[in-house]
Amino acid sequence: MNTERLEELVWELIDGTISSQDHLLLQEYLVGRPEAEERRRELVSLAARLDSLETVEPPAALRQRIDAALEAVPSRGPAALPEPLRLPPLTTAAWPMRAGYLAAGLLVGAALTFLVVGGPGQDLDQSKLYGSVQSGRPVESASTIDLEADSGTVIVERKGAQRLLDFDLRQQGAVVMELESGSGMIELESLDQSGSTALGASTAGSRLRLATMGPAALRLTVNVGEPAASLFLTVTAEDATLDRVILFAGEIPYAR
Amino acid sequence: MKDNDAVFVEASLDGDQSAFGTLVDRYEKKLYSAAYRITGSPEDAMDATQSAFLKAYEKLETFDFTYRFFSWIYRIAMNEALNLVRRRRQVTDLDDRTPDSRLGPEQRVSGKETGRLIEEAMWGLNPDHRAVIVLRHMEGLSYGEIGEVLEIPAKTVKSRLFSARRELRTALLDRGVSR
Repeated sequence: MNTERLEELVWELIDGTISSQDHLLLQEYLVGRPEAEERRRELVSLAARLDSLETVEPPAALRQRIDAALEAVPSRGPAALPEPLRLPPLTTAAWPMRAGYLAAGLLVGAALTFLVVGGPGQDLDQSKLYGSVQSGRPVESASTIDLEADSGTVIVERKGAQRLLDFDLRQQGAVVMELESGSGMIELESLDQSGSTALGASTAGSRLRLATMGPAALRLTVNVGEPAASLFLTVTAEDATLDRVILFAGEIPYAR
Repeated sequence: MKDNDAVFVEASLDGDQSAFGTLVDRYEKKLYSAAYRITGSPEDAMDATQSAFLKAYEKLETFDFTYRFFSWIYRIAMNEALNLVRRRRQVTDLDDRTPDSRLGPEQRVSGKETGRLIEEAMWGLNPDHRAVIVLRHMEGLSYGEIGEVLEIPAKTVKSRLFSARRELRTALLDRGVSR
């Protein structure tokens, strides 16, 4: 038996995987061979030393980091938002419960911005919307806005203090839409979703944030408190290959 | 503990976020310790552990209940740790940092120093060898379980472990640690 074979059998013995036949062979070989017996003891000692190395305690900050990372992931299953999705009006008090969604939104950057300005007390048909895009693209009508890279469309409509927004998102990966009311308050009155993509919503002060993890059709109605209140919409998209993607940026005033 | 992990995975899939927290409680310390032994860096170990839990949570729907959760989460964590090491060439860096601690083969080391020297010697192994040593001796996994974690056959585990132990023994002898 050469040294390599001896070590092999000793390790099998230590690991508890040695066959009875090999065990007998090893025992017989060790008798009267002090060098082989010394090697056996050495390997047993090495195994014992390795086995007795203490577990390394993680820093307390690790659990906090893990919890924070998990909170940023949208909820799943029955405890998550039901489908089709209809959320009651959210207030600032609901913010902590939706913090996970906001955190998810924060993972992606800023992208689409447009401003909707309307006349006081005036209900406008969406076909009368028009505007210009700050990104440099002229827009004849803002009723339907094509997002960049054929990633979707958004239709904006105003009814008094309500704003109706229809998103048809074809973007793969996370998309975050943030609305900010110029009046200082915003309430989500309804939110309908087609499809099964995970969706989250949260409000904080005058801001409403929505996050979806993939293609989705969303129709939401928000109350901004005042018919003439400005509404800023910021949409962020994250693409698997392009990282953060700007889909659209513009300012869209209403026609009177 | 391992047997009812699946219950918590199911509860987590049903939307119970605290259920996944229970799994974090169970494996945070073990994964961190294993990741630390592989990366040799507390910060890298934290990154690997955090990433493992996050990826597991995000991909929980893909979890195959015919396997055990612990081998799945270990696999993710080991991949994270090994990728970090490979990217940062930790082996070379650490090896360069520790020449002063090496002793001549005629010098014997015992007591408190031994544990530190073993860890140093381990960091000198290549990452794949280090991983099998960590999983076998520190985590107490069987050949089959190590194979599940590293996605290699049990036979490969056995031969890799044999080579790693030989390499480690030589490194320890170089540091004056014999028996």
